This record gives sequence, structure tokens and C-alpha cells, in this order.
Amino acid sequence: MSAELHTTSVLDRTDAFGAIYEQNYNLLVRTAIKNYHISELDAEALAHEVFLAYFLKAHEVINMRAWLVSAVCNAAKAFLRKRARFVALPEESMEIPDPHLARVGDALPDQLAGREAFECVTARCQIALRLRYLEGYSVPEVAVELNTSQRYAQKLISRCLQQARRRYRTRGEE
Amino acid sequence: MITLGERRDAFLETIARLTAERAAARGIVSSLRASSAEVWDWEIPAHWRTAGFVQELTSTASDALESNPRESLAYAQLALAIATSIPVGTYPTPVQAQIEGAAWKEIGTAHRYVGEFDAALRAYDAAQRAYGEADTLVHDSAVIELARAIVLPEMQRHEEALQLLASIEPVFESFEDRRHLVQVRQLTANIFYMQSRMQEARTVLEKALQDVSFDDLYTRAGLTSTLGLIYGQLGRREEALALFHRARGMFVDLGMTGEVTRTDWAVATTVLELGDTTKAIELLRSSRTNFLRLTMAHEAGLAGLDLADALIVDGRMSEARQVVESALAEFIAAKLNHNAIIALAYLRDILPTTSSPRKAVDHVKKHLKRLSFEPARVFLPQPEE
Repeated sequence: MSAELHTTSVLDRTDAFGAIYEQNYNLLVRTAIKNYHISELDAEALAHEVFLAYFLKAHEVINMRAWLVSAVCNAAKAFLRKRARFVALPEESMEIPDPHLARVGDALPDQLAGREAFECVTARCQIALRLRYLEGYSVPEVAVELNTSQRYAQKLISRCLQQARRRYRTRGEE
Repeated sequence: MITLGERRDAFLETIARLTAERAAARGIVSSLRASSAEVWDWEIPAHWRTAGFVQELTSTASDALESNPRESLAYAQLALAIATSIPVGTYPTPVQAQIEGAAWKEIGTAHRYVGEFDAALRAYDAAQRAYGEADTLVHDSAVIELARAIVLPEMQRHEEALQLLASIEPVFESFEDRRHLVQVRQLTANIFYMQSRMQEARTVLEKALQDVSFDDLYTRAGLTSTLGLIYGQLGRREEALALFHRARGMFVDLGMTGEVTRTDWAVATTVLELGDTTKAIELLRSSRTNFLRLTMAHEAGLAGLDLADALIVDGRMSEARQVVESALAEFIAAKLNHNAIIALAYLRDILPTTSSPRKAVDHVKKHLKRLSFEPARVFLPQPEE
């Protein structure tokens, strides 16, 4: 009975969001194109993302239409700001290989291995390694975050690296 | 070329998936204690590695914040650990960025609650990095700036906070987000108050009161009460009292006994400033008793210091000393902050001999107020005259 009720409420909710999507999609796409001169393709992608962002915090939104329009305008501005940083490549660059790809044969497997190794560690190690290597926290900052001593934080990070290496190898052998 | 129908279906598929993930996570998360060592030493189970699970943990962290900030921090960190373990490309933009940013936001807020302000700012920086991965999270980003602006005044960085608040006000205006807009104005007014810019504080707060939603009685009551404090500082004490009475009525309607007592306390200190010491003593005694009844020992202690101050003004030194003795005993019994106990013990010892008892009371009172935000702050005795 309760499972049925749950399914019904999920469907109702999905229908409601589906209607919001259909009723506002064209408005958002047109706003991005007309006000910010964004290509139709990019405007459609932005509008789609705005709906997802809206879904994630719909419970907080009072004026849905205003929220959606403002979100697409702000998103279009952010998109244009990012695009303004792009620099056109000279024509001869078509013939030159991308220097970033010079060691792609070595770097790509390393990156993939890094990601997979990250995935198989404990939650404690996930957070320690993320703080240290993805967010650039210093060891004393990791210690504050984990409410521990600097000495223990340093030890934890080393152990987590060992754990990642060990578990990744074990996984490879399975 | 993707059609509208196809895009809509992809959207609905994502939201149905997130909803189902969240429903599946609910039971597991409610049975978890994030601070238990066990959870942290497991390899994260595959069925936990979902955006819905992360959302549920983040929401639990938010719920636990008021009652247990350390537990809230543990939930938020677990949410972040799980978000980190979700394989790249599992969700469309901006889902991953949003769940990571939201987890960081809760981490920052939990740090703020326990007075770890640098850690809070680092967490908010990380939240901004996460939100920056998507173009569509400008509103979330503004909320983080608001959170940062709450922390900065605690570090005496008032001007930075005011600049941040000025930068996000138009963002909230564009989203017609009145709730956050009111918070921006409330905080701006509080900073002006701290800087003794009372007229500016009054102007901003009155604007906020116009904007606050009619249904949001709690915010309206809080704003009215703060406005009362500002009028008191401006020397318009009769108007201050009228505002306190209005705020009190709203808190009574809301059934918020603690806030009612806080407002009574504000009335008592205003009456004291108006020079009616006898009435102030009576009101302060009653507020103190009510705080003790509500087991709000910290507030009872502070009201006790105001009472001691009023008794000193009235020339009743031995009664003032007794009140300080009682407050000290209550702090010890309630096992309150060690630094607060040291400060009160200092006051008990110095009060019989000092030539400026009111200054000594004021010095300790300021320290106790500061401890609410900086629990580790060490008490230093008053410099000798």
C-alpha cells in the first residue's frame, strides 16, 4: 500500500516537473538567444541545466517563473564570461598536435588508475585524500577539518595512499 | 538535433532517478550515526554512491546542526566523501556540482557553529569551486557568499562582509528571493550595529521589515527585536520598548519561550538605561529565573551579570556579589565553558576589592558574550588602572 502511494506521489511529482519544463522551455531558450545572443544549441543546453538546478532546490523557490528566468539570465552571463576567456587558435595550429596530448599515452591510463584507486578506499580516506590532493589543503588544515592532530593527519594521508595503491592492485588481480 | 520532447524525457528520467535514490537512501541514512568510527572505515557500498544518498546525508547534516554541530559536520563530511566516490559522468551537469557544493556548505556552517572560522571559510571556498563547475548555480553561489558574510564579522572583517553583502543583494533581487534578501539586510544591519553605525543600521532594518514575508513571523519578530536594540542605542528608549513589546507578542504567538525571555531581558536592560533601577532589578530577576527554568544557563549567567550591574548602581554590593556567586555555581553545575567559569571566578574574587565594580562586571560580560562565537577564547583579567 505504502509502496503504491510512494510510486503515485513520485509520478505526480514527475508530471508536475514535466509540465513546468514544457511550459517554460521556449521562454528560457528565447531569453538566452534574444538577450545574450547565444546560439540556439547552447541556449537549449543552458535551459535544460536550469531546469535541473531548479529541481534540486524547488522546495525553496517561491516565484518559480522569476527564478527560472533569472537563472537562465545569470547562466547565460556566466557562459559568456567563460567563453570570453577563449582565444582563437592560429590557422597553422590545425597542423600542430596539442601539447597537452604529447604524453597522453602515459597520462591517460595514470588518470584513470588514479580515479579508480580513489574509488576503492574507505570513506575516511576519500575525505582525507580529497582534502589534501583535490582541494589543496595543507596537512595542518586537514588536521583541523578532521578534528585531529597534525601528526595523525600526516600519518592518515600516507596510510590512505598506501590503501589506495594496495586495493587498486588487488582489484586488478581479481 | 535533440527535440524538446527528448530533452524533457531526459530531464524527467534524471528527476525520477534522483527521487528514487533519495527514497532508497532515507532508511539507511536514518539508521546511520555519522560520527561512529565504523562507517568511516568501510569501503563505501556501491548502492550508497548516488546523488540521492548524498542529498539525504546533507539534509540530515542540516537538521542536526542546531542540536549537535559536530554530528552535523560528520554527516556533511560523509556526504562529501560519498560524492567524491561517484564515478565521473554519472549525472548530467549541474547535479554533481550541486551536491558537492551543498555538502561543502554544510561543512562550512558546522565549522561556523563551533567557532572554527578559518575552516568555515575554507569550506565555503571549496563550495564555490564546486558550484563554479556549472553555469547554472549562480543562486547557490550567492547563498555561499551570504554564509561567508556571516563568518567574516566574527573575524572582525566587517568591511569585507559588507562588500560581499552588497554584491549578492542584486542577485537575490533578480531571483525574487525575499527570504535571502531579508537575511542580507538583517546581517548588514547587524554589522552596522557592531560598527556603532546606528542610523544606517536602522534604515536597513526598516527596509528589511518591509520586505519580510507576512507569514514569516519568526524573522519579523527577530527583526523587530533587533530594531528595538538599535532604537535603544540611539537613545529612543520609549520607541525601543514599544518594539520589544511588539516582538514579544509575536514570540508568544510562536510559542518560543526562550525568545520571549530574551526579549524580556532586552526590556529590562532598556529600563535600566532609562534609569529605573528598581524596576530593572525586578525584571532582570524574573528573566534570570526564566532562563534557569529553561536550562539556558549561559543566558541566565549573562542576565545575572546585568542584574549584578543594576544592584551595584543601586548600592547593593553584597547582593551583587551573591548573584555572581550563584551564576558561577550554575555554570559549574551545568559544566559550561571552562573559560567562562574562569572569568566568573575572577569576578567573584575581584568584586569585593575593586574600586570600579561596574567596569569589572562589564569586562566579564563582554568575554562571556564573545565565548558564544569563540569558545576557545582565553580570559584575560582587566588591565590594571
